[in-house]
Amino acid sequence: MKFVFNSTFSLFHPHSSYSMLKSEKSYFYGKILSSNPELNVTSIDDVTLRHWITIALDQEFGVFGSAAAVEILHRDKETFILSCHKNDQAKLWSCLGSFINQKEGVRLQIIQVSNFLSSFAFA
Amino acid sequence: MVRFKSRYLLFEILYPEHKQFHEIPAVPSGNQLTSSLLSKQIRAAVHENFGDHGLGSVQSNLSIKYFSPRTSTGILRVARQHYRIAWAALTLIHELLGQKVVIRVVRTAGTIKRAEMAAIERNASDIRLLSIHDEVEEI
Repeated sequence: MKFVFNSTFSLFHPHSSYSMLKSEKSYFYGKILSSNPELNVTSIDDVTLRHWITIALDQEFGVFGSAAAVEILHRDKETFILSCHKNDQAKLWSCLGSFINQKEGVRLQIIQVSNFLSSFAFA
Repeated sequence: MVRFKSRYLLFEILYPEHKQFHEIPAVPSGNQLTSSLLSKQIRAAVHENFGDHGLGSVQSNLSIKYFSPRTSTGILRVARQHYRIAWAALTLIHELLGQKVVIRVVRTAGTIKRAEMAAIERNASDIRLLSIHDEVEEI
């Protein structure tokens, strides 16, 4: 954590001031939805989820888009938490939101996006 | 009034596997390679490498203004905001009509006139090289 003088902050606390470094990552909290009653969403493994994310990126942004570094941080039944670089946030958000797997009737819903993982404390 | 601005990319198609490539870089392309076919290949390359988003941003303004199969040189018009996507797609094309190719963007210009002048200068230098090559062969 960097400590630098912040003139605005010093109005309230004249003897201390600090600033936080910005996060370089973006975090996505999402859910897997399925319109197929025969498909059990909780049985979908991480490899399949990663495959769908790669397909979504490839469809929307091509070979260069599919090379975006996306990590699956947490997976709990149908919910998941992803992370990527902040520059790829808009790309990942748009492609996941528009992704539909017609064969299996699966869709990915993005519930929340944040630059800080602690904002998902309710998950 | 907001003026629509574009970029004109002067490109040349090189055939590294052609037997005359090392002597005369400007190898003729053949009559089968037309500007419409080339345009389709460029759009396919943009879609493959940059997806629907890339194709959508470039497609409406992408057109081949000039292409000469004799000198394998052409001028591509693209919107100024997205010219790098078209440039990268040109560079990533590695095959045309079954032949291995390398497409090199020689010059970018804001007006077609500047691109045409650059093409004329290149043709003049190629003619000079050809005449020197013929003289050497005679000797």
